[in-house]
Amino acid sequence: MAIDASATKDFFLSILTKDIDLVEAIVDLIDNSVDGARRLRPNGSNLRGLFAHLDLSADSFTLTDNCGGIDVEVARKYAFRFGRNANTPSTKHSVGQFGVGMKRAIFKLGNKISIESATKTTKFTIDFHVNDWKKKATWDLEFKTLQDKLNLTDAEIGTTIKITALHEGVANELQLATFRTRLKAMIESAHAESLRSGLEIRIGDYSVTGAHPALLETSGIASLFKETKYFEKTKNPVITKIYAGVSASSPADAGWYVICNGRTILAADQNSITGWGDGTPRFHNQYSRFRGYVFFDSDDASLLPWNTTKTSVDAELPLYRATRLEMIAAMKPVLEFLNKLDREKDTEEKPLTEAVERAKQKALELINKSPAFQYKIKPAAAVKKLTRIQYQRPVEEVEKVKKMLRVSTLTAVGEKTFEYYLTMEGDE
Amino acid sequence: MSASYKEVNYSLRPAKHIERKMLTEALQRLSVFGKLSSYRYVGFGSIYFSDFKLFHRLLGISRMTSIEKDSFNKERFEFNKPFRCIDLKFGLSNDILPTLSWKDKTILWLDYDGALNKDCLSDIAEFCTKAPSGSALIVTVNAEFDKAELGAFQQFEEAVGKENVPIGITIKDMKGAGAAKVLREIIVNKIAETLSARNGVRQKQQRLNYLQFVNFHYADNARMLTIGGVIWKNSQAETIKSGPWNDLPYIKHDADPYVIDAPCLTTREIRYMDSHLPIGPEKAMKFPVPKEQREKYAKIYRYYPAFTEAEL
Repeated sequence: MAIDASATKDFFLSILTKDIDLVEAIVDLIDNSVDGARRLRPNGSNLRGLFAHLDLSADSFTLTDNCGGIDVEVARKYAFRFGRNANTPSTKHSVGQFGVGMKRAIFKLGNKISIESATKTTKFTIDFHVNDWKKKATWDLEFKTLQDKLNLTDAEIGTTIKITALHEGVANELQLATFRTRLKAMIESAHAESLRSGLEIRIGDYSVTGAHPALLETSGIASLFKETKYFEKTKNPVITKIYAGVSASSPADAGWYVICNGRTILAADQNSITGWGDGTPRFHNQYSRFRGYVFFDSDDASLLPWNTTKTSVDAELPLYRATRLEMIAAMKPVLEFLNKLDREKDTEEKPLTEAVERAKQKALELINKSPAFQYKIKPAAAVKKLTRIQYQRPVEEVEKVKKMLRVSTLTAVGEKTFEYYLTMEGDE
Repeated sequence: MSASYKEVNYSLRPAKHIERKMLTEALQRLSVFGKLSSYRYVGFGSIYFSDFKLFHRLLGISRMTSIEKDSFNKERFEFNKPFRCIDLKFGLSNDILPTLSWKDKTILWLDYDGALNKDCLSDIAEFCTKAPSGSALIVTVNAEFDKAELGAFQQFEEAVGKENVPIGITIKDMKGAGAAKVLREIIVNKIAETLSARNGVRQKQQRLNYLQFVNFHYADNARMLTIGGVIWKNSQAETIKSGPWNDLPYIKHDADPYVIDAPCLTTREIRYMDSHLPIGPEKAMKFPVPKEQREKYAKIYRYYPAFTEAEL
């Protein structure tokens, strides 16, 4: 006798949507457009002319792209399945990997879903209400319209996903300006590489621009840049590139950035998952100049260390564990440098501080290979260490001394009285 | 020859006086939400307590709290308290506001002398999290933006928090009066965000909205922005629809500001024009004050401060 162990739709939808933030889900939805763009322009990094436009309001969410569209066959067999089928035609160097992103985003947003997609030769529309679909015994969706053997122009090709009957919390968020700012920041970071390659991502009328990672360099300060090839003998090797160095002092931007096939999955990470506090210090504000970048690239996206929401790394993956060791090794000299830099706050001579101030931002792709972060700046020899004295005295007395010394600030009172004592009593 | 007579003694701050009087009048309209005497006023009284004097006298509010950051001169502030009903709290608004009870309708005037920053936004969020319906929030900030300074925009972004800067805003938007507009947007967005979260668990009739009623730009010296508005619940929609502020000429419900522009006039000129107002001083003959100044005065004469030296 068989035991029913199948999943219910409700359970499925709740695990799909509860473990992802709204902003992350939207960013994940854009991954489909990115992969479409990469399919259209397989050999180049130039995505100019391709776009993904988001339109947010209190009643609807719409994503429109011109990134090639979904083929009817792909839609029928693969695109709407939950999870990736082993036979799914793959996109080289893709960011879509698990076959959940689009579905997750759609169900996260609302109940009434309408999808329209056209390729060069096919065109379809799908319309469904999540509540009706949940009542059905099967998991199938149906095409509302379906055409093939077409010959469409470039302007007609693309996908539009429109979601209405938004969930209440979603509707509230979508109309907030602060939500748009958060979404913008996440797109800037997550899709930085595609944006730099020319893909246009718009939120309403606003075109998002991608961050351009760079490190400070000058004569005497060289960042680490190391490239490693894994699984070299196989059909799909993975290439990792690690950069580590210093940049502008900003606690919010400091930390590690992990990028898989051009998709940033961790940004400004300051936790143990990227090696902090593991034989290295925990993050502290004196490290707010630290920046580290790790790029994983492979034609086979399944080899890369991302989690399904693309918001963190798959920490147990051997490839990531090996890379994490490299990251720890990479950050140590930078942190040691930053400790020394921090100590210069209390010294008269500040060679490292001056070197950092002199240094210029250099884009990652222009940075030369170097197995470690290095600095060759003569530390100030025999520096006079300074220390701070603090004490309180009655106001009248201090005012009196101020007048006697003819100075106007409390600091001056302290310094002058100290100097006076040293001059009068200092020679033993 | 210098035209310094056109300028004003900063210490007199005529625009600030005008703003205070206009605000007092606008706040009187809160009576549609309940007796003004049932309101509480929370502000930054400094040693002058100008706002406290006005609001106690003209709004009849007698529960008043003044937040004062200078805790080294407590006696001086206590000494200058104009009325017994003012409770002085020493500390930063960031620390004091969370300790207050928010049971009653409140008018809170965050009259900052500096620029907008994250701490200000946290005060604004505090009000929007706790204040009951019918409460009014007034925020005054310095809206000067020095473009010439290197990295000024980055500094601005860091001060207010990048997450609070609306998308598409660049340094170009900060030119002249633009900065005040951007600051208003940031403040209004913060209010909307906080109320939206607070509404999440409320019944439909109890959900809160924000209606701005003043949006002043003025400059006694530095450019300043003051925005004020009331939070109201859906069940009070009819009250709002009746337009409690409709007849006041300086009321602004949106991004378009009301610029307080005080002409410099002598007492004699003021008296003369007053005797011809409210019809319009432009009709008076043989009057040597330029037309532009006359028109400015005609708009604000009811609020124009009379400064005179007094021997007390």
